[in-house]
This record gives sequence, C-alpha cells and structure tokens, in this order.
Amino acid sequence: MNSPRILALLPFLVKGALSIAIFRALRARGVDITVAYCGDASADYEPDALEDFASTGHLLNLSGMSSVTRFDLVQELLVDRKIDLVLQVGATQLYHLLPYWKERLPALRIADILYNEIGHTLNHFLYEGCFDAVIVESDFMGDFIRRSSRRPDPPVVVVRSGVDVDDFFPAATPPSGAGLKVGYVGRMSGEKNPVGFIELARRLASLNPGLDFDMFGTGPDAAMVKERVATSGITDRLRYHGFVEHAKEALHQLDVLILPSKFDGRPVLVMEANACGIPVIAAPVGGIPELVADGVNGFLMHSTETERIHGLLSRLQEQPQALDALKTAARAHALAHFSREKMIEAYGAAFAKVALI
Amino acid sequence: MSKSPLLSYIVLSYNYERYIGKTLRSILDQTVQDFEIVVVDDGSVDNSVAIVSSFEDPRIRLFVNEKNLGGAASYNRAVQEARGEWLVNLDADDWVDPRKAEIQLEAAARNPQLDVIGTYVAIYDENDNRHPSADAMEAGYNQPRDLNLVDTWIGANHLCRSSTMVRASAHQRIGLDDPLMVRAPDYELWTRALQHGCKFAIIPQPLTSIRAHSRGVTHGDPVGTLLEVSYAMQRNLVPLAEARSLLPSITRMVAWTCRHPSLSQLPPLQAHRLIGVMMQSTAASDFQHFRAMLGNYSDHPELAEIGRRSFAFVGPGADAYQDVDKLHSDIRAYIEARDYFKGECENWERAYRSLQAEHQALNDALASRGSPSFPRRAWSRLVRTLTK
Repeated sequence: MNSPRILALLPFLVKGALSIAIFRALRARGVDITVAYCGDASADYEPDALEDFASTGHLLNLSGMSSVTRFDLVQELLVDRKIDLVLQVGATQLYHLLPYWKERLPALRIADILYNEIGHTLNHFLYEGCFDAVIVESDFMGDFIRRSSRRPDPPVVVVRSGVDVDDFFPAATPPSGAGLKVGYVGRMSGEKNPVGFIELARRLASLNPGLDFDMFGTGPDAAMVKERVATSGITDRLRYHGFVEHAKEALHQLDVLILPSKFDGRPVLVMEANACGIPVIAAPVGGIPELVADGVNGFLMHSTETERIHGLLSRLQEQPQALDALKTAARAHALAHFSREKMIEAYGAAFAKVALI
Repeated sequence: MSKSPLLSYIVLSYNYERYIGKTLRSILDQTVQDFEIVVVDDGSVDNSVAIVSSFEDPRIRLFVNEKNLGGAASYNRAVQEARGEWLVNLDADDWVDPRKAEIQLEAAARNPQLDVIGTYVAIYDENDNRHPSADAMEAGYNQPRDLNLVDTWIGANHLCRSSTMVRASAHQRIGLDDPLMVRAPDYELWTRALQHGCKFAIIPQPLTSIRAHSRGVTHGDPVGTLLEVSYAMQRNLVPLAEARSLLPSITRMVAWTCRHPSLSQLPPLQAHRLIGVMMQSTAASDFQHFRAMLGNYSDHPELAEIGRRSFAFVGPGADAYQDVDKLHSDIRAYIEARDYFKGECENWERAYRSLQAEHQALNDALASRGSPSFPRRAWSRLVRTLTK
C-alpha cells in the first residue's frame, strides 16, 4: 500500500507525546512525515528536539513568526514536498490558516486530531468546513463531534490508542507493606481531580485501617495538592511523591489505581496500569467506559461513591486470590485490547484512507 | 433604637460560628453608633444563631431563613428588612476598623453624589493570620481605580462587597440581587448600579479585613463565573457602553469572553451562542433569560453564526492578537539584546581603560629608567583583550 506524504502541525514539541510516538513509528515504517511546530513550551514540559526528523529535513520550526510568514513557509513546503495530508494536532495558531491552504490546494486533505472535548474544539468547529476527517480515539468523542457539528455527517474516524505492553509490564514482586496500596498517578490538574482522590482517601482511611494511599505526578496544581495532603490528617497513610520519570515506577508500587477524572478522553493511564497488571477504579466519564470492562480490568465508579469503593477494596483485601486473578486479567486485557502495534497500524491505515491513497 | 437609623449593617450568616462574634463586635465598636444590624442566617447548622442571639443589643435584628436560600436571596431579604439611610455590607467572617463608617460618611458628606463607597481591604486566612498570598490578592482591590468608568469593570470586580456602604435610596432604584446567580451576584449588582447612574468611590485605606478561605465560591466553578460575568456585562455594561459611545469597550467585553480559559469547557455550540448573545443588541432581562438564550439552540439559531464570526475576529487565534503577541515577544528580545550589548560595551570600555592606565604606568616607569624599548607585552595583552 502506498502511504501518503504527511505534514503534521504541532503547537510545540513535548517528550513522550503520543502523537510524536505515532509519527516516529510510522516514519520507521517508511512513511514520509514532516513535523512543523509553532513555539517552545520547555518552561512547562520536557522538550523533544526531534533530531531524527531534523536530520533528514523533516522538521519545520515556525516559532516566533508572523501568521503571514508561517502561511508562506508551509504553503511552499506543501507544494515542494507534494504533501497529501495535513494533520492538525493542536497547533492553535494555525487553525485559521488551514482553509486558506485548502483553498489554494484543493487536492490537499486535512484531518484534525482531537483527543478530548475541551481545548481546541472551539477552533475545530469554527473551521470544521475545511476538514476531510476528524480523528478521535473513542466513540464518546465521535458522538461529541457529531452532536456539536454543523455538518450533517461530519467525517469522524475513530482510531483507538494503545500503549507499549512490552515497556509496561507487571512488577516482579508485589508492592511491599501489609496494607493494600491504592494510588493516584497522573497530572495534578483540575480535570484529573487529584483533590477528589485526597477526599476519597480521607473517607476510606476512617473506614478501613488496612489501606495505604500514594500519589504520583506533577502539574499546575502540584503545590495545592501537596498542601492538601499535608493538612489531610492522614499523612501517615497518604503520601505525595511528586514527579516520576516513568509511569510504571509509580504503577509498580500499587495494587489498585484510582482514576477520579471529572472529564477525560481515552486516558493512556488506564492502559498503562492494565499493562502493568494493575486494575483500575475509574470514573465513568468521557471515553473511560469504553476502556474499562466492569469487573474484568477494573471497575467504573465515581470517586464520591465511597461505600461501593470501600466494599470492593475490602473484598480484595480479604481475598488475595481475587486480587491476583484481577491483576492477571488486567494484564491479559491490555495484551488483547491495548496493543501499541495495532494502534500504529490503525493510524497508518486511517491516514492513507483519509488521503485517498 | 431609632426606627430609621443612619446605618443598616447587613450581615449574611452561614455556618460561621467561629467568626461571627468578631464581626458583630467590630460593628458594635464603631465610632458611629447610629445603626441597626440586620443579620440574615441562611439555615446554619452550627451555633451561629445562638451566638448572634447571645449579643443582648436591641440594635441587632436576626432573621433566620426557614431553608437555605443561597447568598443572593439572603442578601435580598436583608435589604428588604433594612431601615437605614445607608446599607453597610459586612460578611459574617469579616471585620472592620472602628472608624470605617465615620470615614466613609465623611467622604459622602464631601461628595453628596456618591451612592456606593468601598474601602481598601486587608486579607487574612482562616486563623486570623495575614494570608500567605495577601499581597497578590489585595492588589485586586487596593489600587487607585475609577469605578465610574465602564472599562474598569470589564471582566473584573475591584469592589469588595464587605467593604461597601450603599445609599438605600439608590439601592431601591437599581433593585435587588438576581436570586439565581451564585458566582457573581455582587458584580451584576454593581454593574447595574453603574448603568443606573450611581456614583462610586473607594477609600484608599484598608478599613475592611476579609478572610480568604481555601475554597471560595468564586473559584470553585470557573465556567459558572464566566457565564455570570458575561451575563452582567451583556445586561449592564454593553448598553451603557453603547449609550456612552464606548464601542471599543464592547469589543473588549466580547474579547474577554472569547479569550476566557473556561470558554472551551462549554459545549461548542453554547460557547458560540454565548459570544453571539454578547454581540446582540437586546439585553437579557435576567440570568434565567440569559441561560435560556444560550441553551435553546433552535431559538435564534443565527446567534451561533454571529458568535463564530466574532470569535474569529477577536478570539485568541485572530491574526491581530497573534501579531500583538509576536510584537511583545520581539520587543522583549530586542530589550534583552540591547541590555546585553550595553553590558558588553561597558566591559570592553573598562578593560580598555585599565590597560590604558597600565600602559601609561609602564611607559612612565620605562621613561624614568631611560629605556628606549617598547612595552610589547602590555600591547599584546591589550590587543588580545579587545579582540576576545
């Protein structure tokens, strides 16, 4: 199968970003992908210089330029490289230019990749007329696009993401200590609801003396979370460990992961946890119900459902064999459903289909 | 007690048993004593009511809501019960300087046109300590600002309700709080007062001490705040700006809504309709009407279209804003470069002068020894330094 020549538009280059991992994997399979980016976010995120792309002339730096200059540079690249498909991956500053490239190059296909319903969606629906595809990760997001679109049948394409199940593997030894280890891993920000975890931990701590709580991750609310933990009254059992280099380091210290999100798309953490053999208790919001088969690889519960969560955790505590079986099932579920290889193939196929190649 | 006192303090009480005693004592200790205190308790489940009742001062009039009505409805009840010439707000967790009312009344005497008089504030935490972020938070209130200008109110409330004294006759003219508002009823009331021609002033002394709790109402729901502030601007400030021919201010209000970080948390169609409503000439009659305009997609469908176009004009992605951002970052880079080269020039000049002095000293020394040879080492050092 011929593969399309692609230009991906990114706001900035962040190490570990899913989109970059996908582009790299497709590049390794011979797909011609150029990445253009608009700015620098190294103050907030660890950057990825994309030296591999730069070394072959497949990186275009648009930082610090006026819209006019950006427009001309990209237009020139689209023509010179004979680009078939432009992927908009959150480059806010370029949304309004997309329809103008399309107007000049009618054969050009443009796809928007949207991970969740907030953020770029306002711009998406402003310029949706120029998109040949809207690539999303879940049926939930697909429905959201259909509901919000002004087009009678918006071109939604669902591509389910996955994780590297070889990189995320179960810990050789279970977490140390007598208590059941319950944890929060992820970004410390409002939508992920770390405060909801702290409040749940406080309520559970008074009901069950055999639970230990650990929090990992950083983000804009890190200072507030640290303060909340310090004043929680259960500092002997609730610990905030901050930044971890690799999520599996945190996951390997847990028996059960809690995901108290207020809204979420297709959180990669559920897949990473399962791949590490960790079942999740996740809020049934956004695309999460598509990831969690209740009772198989985790449970769908809001973090406010203290009694239900308490009952579940107590049962797992009393029946270690049930916990072990759940952990094994979580890993098996990840291998069957969350494979990164399948995801890469699916993205490659979706891009080719959208580009009409 | 006078049937029509000079001042009616309005104290809204809700589960602040820890603080309300201090609040009431700070009123009783005022240098101006011609007052009543209207306390409306909104169904506290703690000992607030007992604490208020324990003050045996006939000037305290306690009203207890049979069920929890919320802040705006409680405020309205208090305003309706108040009999004073001025309504003086003080929340049940805040307290005031003994001379606060006296100083505010002096200001009113000097300028009889004033209807709403606030003060600067001092911000404390739950334990009566100065709040760790007090400097930053107080900056929102304690700056010389003219509250009689429309622009002062765009997306911001710099008037702390707990510091205010409102002329009762003016309040009667502008009406009560919108009882359906939760996040920004004060802001709506003040902007409505401005639209009705009320005159504002702020005493530049921190005569009011307010408490910042870790979970304030305003910060708990940014989308709710966005909607209520947008509503207040649409209802009160846009028509006022129109009447004063301040059209760029209307652009600024629409831009404020377009650029609000929580706008994208609304369903897209509702977000676009919100901007469309901000652009239309008919003002919403109340908050419920405003919400209905946003939510009834089939009613005036053109609102979404107007909103989308306006968003493209003044939203964060608009060319003009991107150019301004670029201009600002260019200017920062030029200033950095200027400062760098200025510093380098000074270094070069210093190095040159010190070598010149060294050279002179060597020359002098050689001259005194009568040697004809040239100080080559000093020269080569000078050349090395200048070409480094």
